[in-house]
Amino acid sequence: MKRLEDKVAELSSSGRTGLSFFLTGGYPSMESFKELVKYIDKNSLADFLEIGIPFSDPLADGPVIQKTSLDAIREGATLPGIIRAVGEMKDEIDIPLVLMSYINPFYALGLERVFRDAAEAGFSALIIPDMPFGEDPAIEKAAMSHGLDTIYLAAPSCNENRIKKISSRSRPFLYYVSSYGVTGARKKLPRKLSSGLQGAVKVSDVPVYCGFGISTPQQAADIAEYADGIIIGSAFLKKIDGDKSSYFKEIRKFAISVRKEIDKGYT
Amino acid sequence: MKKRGYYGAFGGRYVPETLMGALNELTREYNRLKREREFKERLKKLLEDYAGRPTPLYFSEKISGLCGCSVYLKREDLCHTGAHKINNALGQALVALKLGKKEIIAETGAGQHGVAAATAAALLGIDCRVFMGSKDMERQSENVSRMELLGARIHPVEEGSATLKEAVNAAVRCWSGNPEDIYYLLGSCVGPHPYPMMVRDFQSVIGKEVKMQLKKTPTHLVACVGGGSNSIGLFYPFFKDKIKMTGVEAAGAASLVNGNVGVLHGAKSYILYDRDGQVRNTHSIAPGLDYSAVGPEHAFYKTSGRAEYRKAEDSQALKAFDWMIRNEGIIPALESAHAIAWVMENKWKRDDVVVICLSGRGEKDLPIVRKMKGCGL
Repeated sequence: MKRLEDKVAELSSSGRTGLSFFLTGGYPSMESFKELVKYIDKNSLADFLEIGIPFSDPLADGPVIQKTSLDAIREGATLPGIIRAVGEMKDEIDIPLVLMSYINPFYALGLERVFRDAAEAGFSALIIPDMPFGEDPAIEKAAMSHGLDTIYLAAPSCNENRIKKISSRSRPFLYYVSSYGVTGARKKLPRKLSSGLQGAVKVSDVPVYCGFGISTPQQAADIAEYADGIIIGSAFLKKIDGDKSSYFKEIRKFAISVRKEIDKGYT
Repeated sequence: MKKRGYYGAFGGRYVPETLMGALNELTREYNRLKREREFKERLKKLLEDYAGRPTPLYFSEKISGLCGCSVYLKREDLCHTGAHKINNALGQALVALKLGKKEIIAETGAGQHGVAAATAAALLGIDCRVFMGSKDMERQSENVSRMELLGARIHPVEEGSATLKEAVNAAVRCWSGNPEDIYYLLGSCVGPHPYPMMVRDFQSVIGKEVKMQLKKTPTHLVACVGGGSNSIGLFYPFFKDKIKMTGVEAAGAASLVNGNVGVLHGAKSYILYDRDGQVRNTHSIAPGLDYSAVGPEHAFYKTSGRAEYRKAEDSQALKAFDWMIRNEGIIPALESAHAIAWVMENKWKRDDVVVICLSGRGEKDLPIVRKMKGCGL
């Protein structure tokens, strides 16, 4: 499995926009989840994947991720189970993986144990949506001691000073939240997004990836003008429904069309 | 407090970054307002002339006789809107007004906080939306009607157990969508900093009044704990006094008695969750106690030994509820009945002076009690 920091560095030096999708771990079932990861890897549909640990109370998530999370929990998905499933695939796949989880499952299982197991399974980094920068530096430290990077989120409410501070600790990139509110497709992204993103890119120490609400290839392309990378969650996840062969086709079509749009201008 | 917003190891701000700006603004403004004379006087006047403070401290001869000691009831049930919740709702609504927010949103379990928030919003002329679990809407229908009459828009929450936890989730999600215009009026001493501090400050009027009203120093303070706002309001002014404090949780929602350290709704505290970290659904006859977490300051009181926490079963609360009506002519909220039940079943010494917070009135609970008893009362 490739490391995320290497992939991000590679993308940065080539000038190509990074593309990542979000999968809920264990959704629609653990087996199908593993097949999805392998399929995305084999067909090079994304540069890396965010694997979300389903949580009972996902405060930052909209209806799609709420639903996939509850479905996955009902199917028996757990943090250790998802880490195990990833560990089982690590020699077969190349695509770097990021572990996204709310903080409570980490506390329940013990930080040291989770971070050790996640790193051994091949995860490169963590995203913790309910741990804003500066709240609990001990977590970042514990993660780092096991070789896991922490990716922090910045939001439209951040001033330049806060973005600079967050980016100084966020590795290997800064996750810029496109708009207020929860995850989920939006018909329109905020008008101020381009100026917010440009400001973030200007002061950030690391590449800036943008996510939340991006749902169409055109939106992705608009954001790719300013951001170093794009993260798509709900709009991608929504396609994973019903019959397996048809959703494989759907996600492939979607990924290719997004890639095509964000690659315009890249030679 | 070791770190700002922390009570020992508990509290903090475990929230999405999108809310950090609003929390900083709120903290700054609240810290300024709580020292401002005009704000303090306006709140004091509202509490006295509008909400009916000070509430009486009533010496209950009958509970005293039963327990063999002196038992007082702090009559928060006599507050305007029928519970202590109005103390906090008025305080925070004034803060919202000062911040120039366009709309107040609130979560509610029993409906008492929703009614208090809707009342404060009506009085001060601000729009109000209340998030309430559909299960709670069904079992506290009287409060739903009251909120609607007060002009609040009710947003039913269907997810999960459709009670207080999900109502908070929905309110936080809504708030994160537009923190610049919306003021989130949280009803208990839970959530991210500065809420636990602010709610405790506004509820501390309960304990401060007890201090003035009771000629002797009490030996024990007892209050029910869901999120923990009436109890922290009673306990906090006595923090440095040598007296015992007991918080009584609902047996089916006893985060302090049965939970573990975790994070829910923005704060590190005691939470009820399974071995994988999924937050457990709770079950209590008292909707206001039916919550999987508890305020971080209580977590600190527990671990530091400043207070002890016990639990009461639904059946014990119901028994105390009946007893209070028949013997005192007071219909207590089922929440408060948990605290009364614990006092009635505990062993006391003759010199003990016990103050129970009777946090609210129980008219809202008649449908629940009727259902439990299979029709007539």
